[in-house]
Amino acid sequence: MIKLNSVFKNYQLKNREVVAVKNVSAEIHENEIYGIIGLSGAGKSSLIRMLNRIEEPSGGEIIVNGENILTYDRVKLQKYRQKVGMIFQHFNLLSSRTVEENIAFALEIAKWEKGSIKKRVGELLELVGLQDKATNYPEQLSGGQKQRVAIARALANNPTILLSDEATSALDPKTTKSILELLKEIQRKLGLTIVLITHQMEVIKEVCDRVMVMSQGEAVEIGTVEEIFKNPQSDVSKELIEEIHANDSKEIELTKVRGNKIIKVIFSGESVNKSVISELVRKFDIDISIITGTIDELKNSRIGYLILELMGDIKKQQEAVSWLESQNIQVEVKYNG
Amino acid sequence: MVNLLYVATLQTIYMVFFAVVISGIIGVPVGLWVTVSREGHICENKSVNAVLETIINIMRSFPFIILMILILPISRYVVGTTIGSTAAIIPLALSAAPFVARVVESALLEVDPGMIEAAKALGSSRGKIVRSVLFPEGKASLVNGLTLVIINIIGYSAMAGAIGGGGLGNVAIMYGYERYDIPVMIYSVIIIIVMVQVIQSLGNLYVRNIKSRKSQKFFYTWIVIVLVALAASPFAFIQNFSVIPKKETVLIVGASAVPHADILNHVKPILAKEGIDLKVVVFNDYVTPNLALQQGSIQANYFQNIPYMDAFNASHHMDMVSMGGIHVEPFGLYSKKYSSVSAIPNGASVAVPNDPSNEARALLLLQKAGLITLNSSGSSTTPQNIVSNPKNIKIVPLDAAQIPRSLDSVTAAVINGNYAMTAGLNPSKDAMVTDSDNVDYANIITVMPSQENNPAIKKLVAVLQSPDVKAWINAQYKGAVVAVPNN
Repeated sequence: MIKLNSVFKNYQLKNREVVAVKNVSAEIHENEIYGIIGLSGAGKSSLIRMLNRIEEPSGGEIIVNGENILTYDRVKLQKYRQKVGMIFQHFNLLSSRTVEENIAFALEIAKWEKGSIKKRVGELLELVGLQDKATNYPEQLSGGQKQRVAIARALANNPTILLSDEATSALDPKTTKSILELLKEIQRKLGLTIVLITHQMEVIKEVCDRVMVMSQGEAVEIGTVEEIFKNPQSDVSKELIEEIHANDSKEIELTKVRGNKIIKVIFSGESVNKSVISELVRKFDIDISIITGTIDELKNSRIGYLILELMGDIKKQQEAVSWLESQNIQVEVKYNG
Repeated sequence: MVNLLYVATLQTIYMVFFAVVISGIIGVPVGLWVTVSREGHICENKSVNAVLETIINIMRSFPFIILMILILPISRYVVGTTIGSTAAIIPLALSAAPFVARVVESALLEVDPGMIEAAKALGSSRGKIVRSVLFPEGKASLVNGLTLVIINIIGYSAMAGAIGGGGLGNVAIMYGYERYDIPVMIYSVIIIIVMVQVIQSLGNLYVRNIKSRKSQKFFYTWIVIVLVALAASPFAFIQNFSVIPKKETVLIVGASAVPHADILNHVKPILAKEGIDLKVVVFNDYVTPNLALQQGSIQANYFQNIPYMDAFNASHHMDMVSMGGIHVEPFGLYSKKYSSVSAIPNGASVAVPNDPSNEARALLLLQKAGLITLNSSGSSTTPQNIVSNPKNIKIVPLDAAQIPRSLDSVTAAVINGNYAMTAGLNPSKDAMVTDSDNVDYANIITVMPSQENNPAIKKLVAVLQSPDVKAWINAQYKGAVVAVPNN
């Protein structure tokens, strides 16, 4: 549906050129939620803005539904943008307009008739659950409510693509969750393709099907969310995943004892339900203490983590690790003992 | 006095109202354009932006009074006259327009770029962004700026007196500064303060209402204010346009306030009997009455003497002629500390007017008093022409109107007759020496050559030189103004 072919974005600063996006190629499928994650300055913001040409690429091709949108003239571009909704970190609602007028703004732009605007605004308010706030001004709303208005506005012209620029970064965890739920719901209901950028792995974990990890302008890793969580390849991916398991490394530090290995065991798919730990104890005659354990609920699957301290003969500990690996279970040795 | 202040208030409202409207018509589009052509804005265009920036900066650099004189031809073309409140509107509007542009620019730049980005992302045209985002979101700042513009124009309108525009500021200057009429000055300043205060409060209220979203209620107050201004405007318009000639017998004469306008007003009934409707336009400077004469906005003026007219003719390539001398305002040498020239000590400081022709006349008077010797006798005499100065007196050039107030700070001062008079000094009693016998300095009726044979002007001069009027002048001013003897 959306195809990026070696897209570049350069900025001319006073006396040097900055490359914000470097040779990014990717394919975004219809009906998926595609996440782009990276630390700030990674180029993800420039990348998403090129998908509706709020920023102009310096090179490459962006093919949407078979057409290279970089060839569009102004009028055609405006028509295209009406079919690509966008929501923002700071909502960007018009402060001089009420909630319903803000939503109507999108319809005015697309030259809807006055009579049909009112009806459509009503539908959208219902979709985002804000019927009772129609005549309020944005400043009278909470952050979450503002983002709901922005979502309603972005969906007004029945777009097929929704771009989300850090839409939950200014919200508290609870509100973030409810906005993400809403995004998932409308994606299902309307069959949207959603492209979102974020610096929070939580968001990717919660809603995305596939993800691109960006670092210094480049796409360093692309894959399904499960793949990335199970087996992150790039340093950035590892770092970002570590962040949501921040407690683990603290616990590991506190537990380290000479002679006892500490390992991280990652289960996914079928292995989540296997009773490997008890089998391990029986087979190798070692003691095991569980330091921490978590399960990440991804959109389409679950990934479990256990951090174990192995006690007993160091040779047997080593054999136990090898056995686990032979069982197709991913093991990371965190401390060699 | 009530009528004077009433008319001046209407004139001020009239000038300010239309100047605001016109400066808005020019300034708002320019301000919008200079904003959206900025780098990264919706109509980015570096060369357009640079050109507009330059124009705005040049226009803003002009001192108002210079601009006013420079654009007299434009005023004439647009409103058909170079004098009066209507003529003042054009320079007021033009000097305010670049200011309006800047106000609009800064208000529009305050609009959150995120909102513009959101509108773009929705597929908005640039026109729609301007109409639905830039202006509505910048409204509070725009109203704040508009308030500032109106108050600024009220301030500038004080200078409109230079081209006979009248208004409160002019009344304050003419009556307070030049004629020592303190109550009129105070009242006119109070009215200005009240106007400024009302506009500022309304502006603040409006902004508060925009922010608290109660603009509907306040909207009506705003409408009332506009209606009042509109209602006042035609009044002032009529006041103003009544000086434009409608019949052959109307004669418009520009004059200084004292004693020229007073003398003209004295002869008004006499001329009326002869079928001549004399209109007097008061100017408070010495350049515009001649320019107005050249433009044909007035048919004669009465404020200058022959040396001044000659110098003006030379510097402006004009050929104004004198229709005859009417009165002399003797320069006098005054002192608060000494009563005779011989008592003036060594190293004394003597104030003289700082404009060239008055300075020359003052130096000639000091020569007559025996204080200095000059090697020149013309109207271009300057302190450089002093060849002997036995008492080593120090010449202190000051603004002519300012000298009476400075009399305490100098040993002695040469003061123009009219300023001496308004300051309560009488040349024939208080001066140590005067030049009342020098008819070279008689104030003349000046016309352009095309008007030389205008019977109405001839009649005016004849009446002014008649024995009755001469007697009236001499009695009225008790020596401060002396009618020119035997013409």
